[in-house]
Amino acid sequence: MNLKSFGCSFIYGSELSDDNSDSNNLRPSRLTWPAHLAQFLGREYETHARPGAGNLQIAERVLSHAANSAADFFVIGWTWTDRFDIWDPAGDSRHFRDDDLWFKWNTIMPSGNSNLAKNYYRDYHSEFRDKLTTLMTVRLVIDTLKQKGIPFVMTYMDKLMFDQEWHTTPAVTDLQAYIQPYMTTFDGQNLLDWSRQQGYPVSDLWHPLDLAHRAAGDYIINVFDKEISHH
Amino acid sequence: MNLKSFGDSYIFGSELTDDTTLYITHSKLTWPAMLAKKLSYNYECFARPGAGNLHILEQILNQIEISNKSDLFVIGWSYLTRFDYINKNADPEKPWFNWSSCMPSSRMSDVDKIYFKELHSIYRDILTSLTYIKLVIDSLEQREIKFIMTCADESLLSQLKNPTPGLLYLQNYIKSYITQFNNNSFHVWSSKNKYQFGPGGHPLEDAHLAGADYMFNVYKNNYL
Repeated sequence: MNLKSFGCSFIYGSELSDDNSDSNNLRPSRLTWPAHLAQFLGREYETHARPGAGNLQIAERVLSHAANSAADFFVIGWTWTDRFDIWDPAGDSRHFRDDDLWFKWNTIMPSGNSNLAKNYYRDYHSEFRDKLTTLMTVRLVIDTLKQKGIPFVMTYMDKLMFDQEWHTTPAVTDLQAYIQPYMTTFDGQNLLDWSRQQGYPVSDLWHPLDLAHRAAGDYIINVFDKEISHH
Repeated sequence: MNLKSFGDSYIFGSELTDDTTLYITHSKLTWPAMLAKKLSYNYECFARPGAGNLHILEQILNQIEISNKSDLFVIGWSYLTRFDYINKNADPEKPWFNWSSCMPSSRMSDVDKIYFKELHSIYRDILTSLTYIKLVIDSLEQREIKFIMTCADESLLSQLKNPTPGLLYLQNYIKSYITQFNNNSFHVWSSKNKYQFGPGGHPLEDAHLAGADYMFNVYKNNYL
């Protein structure tokens, strides 16, 4: 009967006041909005979010937990669509236990200065591919959670997921229509834009801070009070 | 009643005798085309030589919403190592120019070489193809569209060292939906049965004819 959260640094709680992570240890925050929601629901809180993760990596963790979860409640925060997860057999195991299978994921993102990032964004990246792969991944997770009877709340950071002006095919628009009803927003915005609009402090690295997460937790509790009670 | 086929060159029919306009006109001598004939379906082919599984997925999703229960989808998933991307430098005169695919071969371009050196992993290949396949299975079942699904790559369901529970879950989920030819891919089955192959490595007419007979029986068992 746990609340399990999945996502990137926005769900992990990077830069919140209890984020004591360093290069050798990751200690996720318990001041995030999913943690507040867990407290409200009287559930134990577990986060499987990882700072810097892309959507493929997030999906894999959700599926890994969905495979053996029945009575848990899932919170998923999809990240920016332009991140590209790669599986690195060498892996960087500093942050994780030896038996943690996920340390082998590495993520390329536009802010990266490595040759790898430069090559990826020059040769292989496109907004259409990002959109298609993200949308299909989200739908896959929705269908799986429904098949498993696992209740969930799902948010997203990247508005490009639902853009219909550019880079669309019937596959894209059908996927957009399918997943939109399952998405929860903060007054129609992502956590970052909503936090800024509400005047909550946001760090230089774009992470909404404690006050924003507290308010976002209250927001989600209000919006989903009835549905959550039903579950 | 349409039989719609999706896949790569095996489904397109590369090197068959009626494949005279490379990359443009699909063959009507493939096993899906002959299966359509046996079942009195109209045949439509959306396969593309060289396609990887993301490209194939997109073709399927483009068709699902405009298809109905009376249609039959035949899907031949491709080799997992192919990586599809939108090629910004492609020749717009080339059919399907927008999609390109990195694939291992002796004549790899620099772009292909960088991909396989820096971005590729077998684990990612298997995981992503499994996600595409499960999505298609669920989408077709939700629309109650009949389908036959094969895979050219026998490593799709192979056991990996230290797989995550998510990957194992996907493998177990899709296992019963994949139809192979006596537990082999079409290519391997054709080779074991000593059917002829073209210089490009594609099974020729006899193999497709026998493949259609094989899949006709599969269809009868599943849907009649």
